Amino acid sequence: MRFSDVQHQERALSIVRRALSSGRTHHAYLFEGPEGIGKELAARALAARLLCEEADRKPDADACGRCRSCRLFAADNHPDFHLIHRGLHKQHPERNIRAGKGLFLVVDVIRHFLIERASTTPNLGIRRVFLLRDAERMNEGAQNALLKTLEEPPGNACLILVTSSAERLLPTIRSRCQCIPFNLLPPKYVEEQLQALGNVEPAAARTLAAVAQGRLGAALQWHRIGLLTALAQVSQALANGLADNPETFGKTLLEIARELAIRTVEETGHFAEEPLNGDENGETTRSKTGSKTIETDQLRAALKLVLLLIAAIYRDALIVQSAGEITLRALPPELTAVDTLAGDADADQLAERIQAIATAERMLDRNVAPQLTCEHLAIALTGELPAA
Amino acid sequence: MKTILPRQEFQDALNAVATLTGGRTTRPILGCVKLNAAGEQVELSATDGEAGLRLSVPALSIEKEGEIVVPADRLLPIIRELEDVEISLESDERYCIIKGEGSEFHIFVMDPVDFPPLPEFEDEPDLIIDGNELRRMISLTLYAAARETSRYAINGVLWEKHDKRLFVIATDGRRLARAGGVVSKSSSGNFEVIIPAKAMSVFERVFAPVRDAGDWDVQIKVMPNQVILRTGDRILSTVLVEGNFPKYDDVIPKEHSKRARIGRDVLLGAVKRAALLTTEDSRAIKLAFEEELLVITSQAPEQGDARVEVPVSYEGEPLTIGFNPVFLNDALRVIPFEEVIIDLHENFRPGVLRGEDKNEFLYVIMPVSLST
Repeated sequence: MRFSDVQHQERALSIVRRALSSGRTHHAYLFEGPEGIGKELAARALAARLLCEEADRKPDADACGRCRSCRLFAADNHPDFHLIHRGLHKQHPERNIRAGKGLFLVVDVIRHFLIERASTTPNLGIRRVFLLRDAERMNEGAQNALLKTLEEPPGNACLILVTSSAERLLPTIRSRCQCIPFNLLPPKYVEEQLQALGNVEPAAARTLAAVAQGRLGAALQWHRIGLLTALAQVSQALANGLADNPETFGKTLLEIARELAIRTVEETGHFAEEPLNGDENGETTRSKTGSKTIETDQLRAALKLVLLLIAAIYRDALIVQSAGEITLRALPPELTAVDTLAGDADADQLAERIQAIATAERMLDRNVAPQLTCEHLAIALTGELPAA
Repeated sequence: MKTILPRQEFQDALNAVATLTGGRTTRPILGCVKLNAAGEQVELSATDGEAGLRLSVPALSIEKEGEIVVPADRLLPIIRELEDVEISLESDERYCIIKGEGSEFHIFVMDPVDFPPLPEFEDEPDLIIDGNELRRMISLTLYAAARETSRYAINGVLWEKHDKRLFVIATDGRRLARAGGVVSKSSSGNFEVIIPAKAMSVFERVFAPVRDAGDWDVQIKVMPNQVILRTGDRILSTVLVEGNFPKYDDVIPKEHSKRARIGRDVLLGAVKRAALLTTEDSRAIKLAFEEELLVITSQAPEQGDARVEVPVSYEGEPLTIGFNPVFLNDALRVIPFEEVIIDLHENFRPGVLRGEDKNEFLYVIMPVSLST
């Protein structure tokens, strides 16, 4: 856990380092920025440093890595470090809270695992540190319950909120934290790290880095769930599928998304649990390819990825059309869909279609049924307006 | 590690530490018990991340010293189901091997290095108090502690040491219980600490008097972040509650104009009977005190009402006051006195319950409005 593990975030780290060197750390931080760029890594480095017991260290250096506290932290076993995440409800003493789906960080979870813990003295004697992953997933009740602790944590406690969409937090939460923005990483760096950390082929790394646009964590995960396979499928569907009727195209997209979702589930190991007795709910979707159940939530996330791929293909098509410049293309030249699309439409039409993809993404955010969203998108992409 | 242990003693010890490992935990290692075979005994340690418990079992033999960390929810049932008088415990880096007559179990172990460190009881204790006395003080107060309130300081029990006395105080904002006792030996100054209610209930369960022993002492060590209690080879450590306990002295009424004396069993029985006709929404019984007579009435809307009369010795103007029967019940159940004294002033002022023990125990209870 070192700050130097976090690359290309000089601005964010300098704020944190300055606070550490002056010995005046804030009691609540909000690490904000897109997914997968090192926020949590930086938060852990800060937590390790705040818990470190070594007295003799340079003011802005990392945690010593040798003391009892650092060893426990490295083993992910520090009694005063609390990671608050959406899976925690499974450990809640009350059965009806354990039965929840964990889509949100609810007030009971925040109370039990954060507020109550913060009210007791630390085990090792320095302070307790709380890291809230996906802080924006706190619902309004949870956020309001947290306000008092956030403003004046008992003892020396420190709260680090990590979020990819700070705008979904209440203004009262944001104003109680020192906000530290994290930037997107340079694509070149993402490409290198993909090869170094994920053993990704250079060509695949370049493509993933281009699609990820500076989000290393996302790119690594996408590699593991085989996003490039999905890219080939999407490209295939775009190359020959648009002539078909919108329904078939929508189904194809959904199928690609579903496979992605299943691979995500397999990769992260978060299977949707079987509903408890007497708690039947119809919100789970049976996948056609396997007997595994995936949540609509996960399907939506996968479909958003598919939309991202379509957008990347159209972006390249736009580049090909306007610049004709091969070197500017982000995706590998084997993807013939790019050239087909570039040949089919003029620049204005392509721009309109990219708009349509953005619209589809907003529809998903507003909980429009995935099937409907896909069909709507298909119609928009063919350029044919539905009959009035 | 390789050792032979008496099964029953080992099971009792595991049962005791299971009070901490039993709940759901965020870290798997907190569901484990650490066994340390050294010298002539095996020390068991467990922690739930807040409180820690250690106790020892004398070993029949220790062939090889060592430490292992085993999931308690696996180990305990195995030990319980074995029928042998002696069991053998052996471990390598991956397994803990438990052998009894004809049975053999292998459980995966975790690395002892990862086990959270528990604070050591070093140097002299800050104070020593009689074990039965401390148990009495805790049982007289613990039920009054608040559960799940945003005022976290009162989720714990206040220990206040004042010269040669120790007071234990708990409140939930609507009632307050205080018990006091004499410290048998003190080598530190006065202090105030708030101890989490959970640790107190672990103490109640695990620190019981030994059957054949008479007196037993509890040694107490107070540190900035922890309190450690020790009796013989049992050590309970706990983190403290941050924050300030409310100034409870202000809550205790300084004056009273009416005083009732009544047998504890008589009052408890009467309160229980009258409480039968209260509802979840209107938990109130009405106590009407007159000379020689206490009339307790209650009403459950649209269901019925109750009237209970009991003799009382009462001095002062007649008074009618409402109380939550649950609160009265909680205290009356644990009070060890034959006769209780109830001091009252007005029907909107708190009442005080106490016994004849030099004013050390008292229970302040807020009245319920009877206007409706």
